[in-house]
Amino acid sequence: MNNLIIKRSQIVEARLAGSLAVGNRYYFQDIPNLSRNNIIVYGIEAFIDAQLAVAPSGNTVVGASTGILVTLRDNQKQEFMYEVPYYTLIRANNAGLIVMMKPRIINLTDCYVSLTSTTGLTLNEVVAFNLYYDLI
Amino acid sequence: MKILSPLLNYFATTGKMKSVGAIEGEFSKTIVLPITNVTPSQVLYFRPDNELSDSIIRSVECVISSNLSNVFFNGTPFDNLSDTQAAGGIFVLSNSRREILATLPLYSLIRSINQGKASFSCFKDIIWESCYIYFPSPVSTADTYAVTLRVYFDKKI
Repeated sequence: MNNLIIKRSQIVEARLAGSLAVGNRYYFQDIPNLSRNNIIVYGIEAFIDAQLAVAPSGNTVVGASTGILVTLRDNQKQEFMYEVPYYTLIRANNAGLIVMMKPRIINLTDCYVSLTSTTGLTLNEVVAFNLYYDLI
Repeated sequence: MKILSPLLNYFATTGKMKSVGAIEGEFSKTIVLPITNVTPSQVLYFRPDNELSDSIIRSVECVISSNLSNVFFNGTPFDNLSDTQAAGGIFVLSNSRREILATLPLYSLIRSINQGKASFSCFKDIIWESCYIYFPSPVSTADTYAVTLRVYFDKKI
């Protein structure tokens, strides 16, 4: 069994802004540090408030994970990781293993989360991830 | 397997993955950072450590109170954070160009909560005194608390 080696990482967030409804999409916020074309993402980890109480932006992290789906898009607009359950990406829930993926250049602000349930979620909370990446 | 094997080979040869049972690093040390009267988002830098700055950091572990109740810093005892308190903290590593290499929530670095799995890393160019911890949320700690990290490293040849 293998686990990811962190080379570089950055916490990214998608804020549950506007209205809270099933089916809505909430896009990742831009991080200038990741807005470069020489970055490949090869791992992702998600958090709820038990693991990260407040995100770097100062917003509270969501307290429930079971109603959230995550979609990642690459720079060709391809949804290469489509609707992954948020729970699956939480390391502490999955034997301490970090989810790895085929390295991709992603378009961060095109990536989004969608909701299948609003139970346990509050408006303006953030869905927080750690993206593990490397330079090409 | 035809698809997976080349990918796994790529991860292994480019240093992005290794076995969970692998040795973290040849050397390790405990770093204690007292967090006296910390305010939200206050940056707490580590003290200089030339040995770590000249090393490749292979793994970092956050030690919580259920693993080790207290530690000593300059002869003074400090309590370790609980897992709930650690969930408020973020560890930031930066390199010699003051570029942020990684932002790691402390909770992710707690080994016992992640079924004994270490957080492997490969940070080659860090400057230890440029690395810091901060708590975006108010952390309810008395003056007697400290963040304790176990750092595993290989010395650069």
